Amino acid sequence: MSQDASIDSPHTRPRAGSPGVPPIVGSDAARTRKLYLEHKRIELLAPVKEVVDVASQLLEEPKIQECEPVRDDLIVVRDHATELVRKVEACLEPAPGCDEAAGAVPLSPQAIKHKLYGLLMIICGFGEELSQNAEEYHLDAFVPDFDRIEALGSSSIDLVAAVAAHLDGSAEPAGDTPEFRHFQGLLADLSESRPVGAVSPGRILVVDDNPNARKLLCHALARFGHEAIDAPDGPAALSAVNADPARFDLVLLDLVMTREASGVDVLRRLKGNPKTAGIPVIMVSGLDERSGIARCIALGAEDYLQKPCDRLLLRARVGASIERKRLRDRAEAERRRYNAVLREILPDRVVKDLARGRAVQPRRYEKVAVLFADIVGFTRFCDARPPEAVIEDLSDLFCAWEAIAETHGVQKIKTIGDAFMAAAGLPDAHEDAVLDCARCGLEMILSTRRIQSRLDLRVGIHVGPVVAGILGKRQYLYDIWGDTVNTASRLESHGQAGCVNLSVEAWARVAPHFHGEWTSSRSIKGKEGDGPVDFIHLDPARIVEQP
Amino acid sequence: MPKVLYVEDDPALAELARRRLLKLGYDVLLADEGEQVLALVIEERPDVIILDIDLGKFSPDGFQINRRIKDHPSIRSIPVIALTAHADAVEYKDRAEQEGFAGYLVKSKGFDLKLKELIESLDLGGAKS
Repeated sequence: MSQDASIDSPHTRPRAGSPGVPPIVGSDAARTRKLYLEHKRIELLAPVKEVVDVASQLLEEPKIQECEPVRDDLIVVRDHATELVRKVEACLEPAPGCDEAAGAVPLSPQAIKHKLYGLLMIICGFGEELSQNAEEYHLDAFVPDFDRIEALGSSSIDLVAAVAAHLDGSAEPAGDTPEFRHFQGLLADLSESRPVGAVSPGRILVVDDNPNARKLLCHALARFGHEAIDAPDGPAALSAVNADPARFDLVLLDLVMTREASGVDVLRRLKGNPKTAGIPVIMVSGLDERSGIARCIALGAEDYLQKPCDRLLLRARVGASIERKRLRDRAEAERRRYNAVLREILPDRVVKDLARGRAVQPRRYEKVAVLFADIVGFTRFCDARPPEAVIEDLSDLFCAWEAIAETHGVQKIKTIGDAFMAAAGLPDAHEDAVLDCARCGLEMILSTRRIQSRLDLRVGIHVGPVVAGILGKRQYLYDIWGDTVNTASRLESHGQAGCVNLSVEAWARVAPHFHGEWTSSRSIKGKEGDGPVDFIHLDPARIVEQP
Repeated sequence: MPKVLYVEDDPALAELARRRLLKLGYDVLLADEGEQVLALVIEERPDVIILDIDLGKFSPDGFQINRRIKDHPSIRSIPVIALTAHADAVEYKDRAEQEGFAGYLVKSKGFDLKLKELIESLDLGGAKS
């Protein structure tokens, strides 16, 4: 098939839904919304669950059990917070079944506010009451806990207001906030997400040189359902993490360790290595180590815990860290997947330019080798076989050709019906562009015969200037244009079946590398006036590559 | 000491409001069901009534209760404040104004202080307070 004919051939149009067409990823508001909601749900569940924990623990205190009014208020707090956990899960859960339709929240923003607000006001209000009345009941020691309840409730109210405002559309144009835009970048597919409720168990490395502290932490983590692995010092921790960075979801790192390396050293090493930098680290420290902690947070620690570790805080912070890591991991996997899709359809350098936000302007390249390959007798072959079988064969062939092109550093440009178009020497020019194409063509011919013995291939190669680039802004196709392309196409269409057919110019660049070629002069349709053109034919059965 | 009748179907919120209003120096009466309100008002003659608009499916709503109060000559002058959780339901506010409520308040953090301001701004007839 010639390049000219391809202009209005129906085969050139990208087929919707074919694997080569990238999914529309940029404006998927519904998915973004779902991701945002899931994130908010996790963010909101953490403080509310902490309220349940704080209240439950306080209710176990003998002094509080003796004091009826305080106990009753705490029961109100605990029960309302428990109810709230259920409501948050229900309100912000993407509705099962209809989730693809609009990423719809099952409840209106009003309903969310209505349902969550009242409960939060009760939690807040009673937290405040407890704090104010503590003195009267001689329970001053618990004031920080009561204040914590109030503070958690209060911050949750702000969060609910933000979520409701967002869903409401008062943050229009839809999602025009930095946070929402951040989520637009993530584009995670929530259909893959597990149901959110309890924090999922994680694998945690506990680093502490005090064996008792280590044992205590591991024991507590195991009780929360996590898998805890311990390391007695910095070097042991580093070797465990470096051996398999993907193994750990979190590191709990003692700040002050006397043996070998300090917590700061270990942290710096973990964050300094790109393979381990993504693992969240929670610092564990004694009292009065605030400056050390501040330094660690500046170095990239996710959070900190004070010794002796409060069970509730340990659980909440570990859970939240793991949850955030999972979210980041998922976003990263998505980003990689989309980048990989882009790389499948565009040259690496173009992907880099696009990623940096540069426009990819069509550019002229001087010495580009262009390869055309077309199946000989394809029409007859098709007539004798059901279309499904033909497509299957064609798919096998294209896959094989793509692999061959890749091994020779030849860039596939596109397929046109049963023809294959590729180029070498762009975007980066190099001396061996024609040689790469010639070797690629020879191997393609042999592989075609192996895959389908009833088919043969005809290859044409020319070298010269082309213009290359992307036209349009959607469904990117990196393409090349110019007389060099048309000539390569004619070399193929008028060339010898089963051979790589080179122009004189192309041959001049590879002649020292081959012997066993033969030549012919042929008239080219539409260019008869120019007289016959010399073809150099490389037959894979006869050609020998010079060492 | 002004007497406040607070009508709210959520017991925890009602209890919270009761404590707050007590601390702010009010005498507080609670009711959790719309049908009781009229009898309670006639008997107790509160200085101000705070009515949750949404009292649940099985009760008349705040608008209906207010209308009954306004239909009753001996108590129609008692100011009624509408209370709602629908922070964004602007139509409730407009409707409350049209239906002769003395004020409108959204349940939110610190609403007790706003309520105090609102009550103080009302003319409670001087004699009783």
